[in-house]
Amino acid sequence: MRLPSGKELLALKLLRDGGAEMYGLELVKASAGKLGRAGVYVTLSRLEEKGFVRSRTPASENHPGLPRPRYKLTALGERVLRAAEAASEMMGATIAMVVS
Amino acid sequence: MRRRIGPLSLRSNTVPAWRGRIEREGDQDCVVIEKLLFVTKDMMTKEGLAVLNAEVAEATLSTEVWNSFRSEAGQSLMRAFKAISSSAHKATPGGSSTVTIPSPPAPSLVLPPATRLVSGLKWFLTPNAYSRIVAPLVAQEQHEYFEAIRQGDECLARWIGARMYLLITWGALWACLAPIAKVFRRAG
Repeated sequence: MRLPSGKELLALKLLRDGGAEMYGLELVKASAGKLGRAGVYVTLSRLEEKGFVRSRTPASENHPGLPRPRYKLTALGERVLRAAEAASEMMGATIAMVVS
Repeated sequence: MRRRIGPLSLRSNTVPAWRGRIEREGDQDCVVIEKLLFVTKDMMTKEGLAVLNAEVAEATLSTEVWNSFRSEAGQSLMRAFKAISSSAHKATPGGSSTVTIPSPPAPSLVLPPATRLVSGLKWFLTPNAYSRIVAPLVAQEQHEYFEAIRQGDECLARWIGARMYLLITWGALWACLAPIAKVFRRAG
């Protein structure tokens, strides 16, 4: 299994902080410009492929367009995110120790 | 002002639909026809959208509207159209365009932007790339487009429509390049 990239980690973090299911555009807005409108779906697609995120598309919307999917963090995604955060903290502490 | 329509011909596998406005005439509601559409039954798609093969124009109809169209009001509208159609063969172009019917289900049909582009991409891309990258992107943009229309901001809706084409192109490019990039990554 490939580890999540920086953007993928950010998306995972935002999904965790968001709590409930989120739309792609909500992630874009919450990321303060770090995730793009088109790019966010590429990132979410990769996360879904890896099993870190699950999407749910309603049958229809209240307009004639396509229904928007909502994304939710899976248990595996949450574990991976926690591991990545712990690894980053450890690395930070090691670098601080070496520098000092 | 009322528009006029010419003689009509109905194909056996089509159902007439309409685009128009409702007017009150005396104590009855009237539909003033602005455009006539011919719906091909076999053009219903899996997403719950009925793509209308129109002789005059093209539009997309949600299943909700489609079902209400087939309901009581829709049936009487169809009968009214058939009546116009049969008599219009003998009439000169420019017959009456108003039909008196019970209140119709929807005053107008709207074509979501990029519908044709999306159906093309669906054929061109892999099912995974379409459903995971392009379809959510289109859905998000269409949602914003209809929100802008609902708020009456036509300029914003037009901008969203134009932006959608750029984003879809970008998304489709990514969807095409992702498998190639994966091959290189694996090889490296």
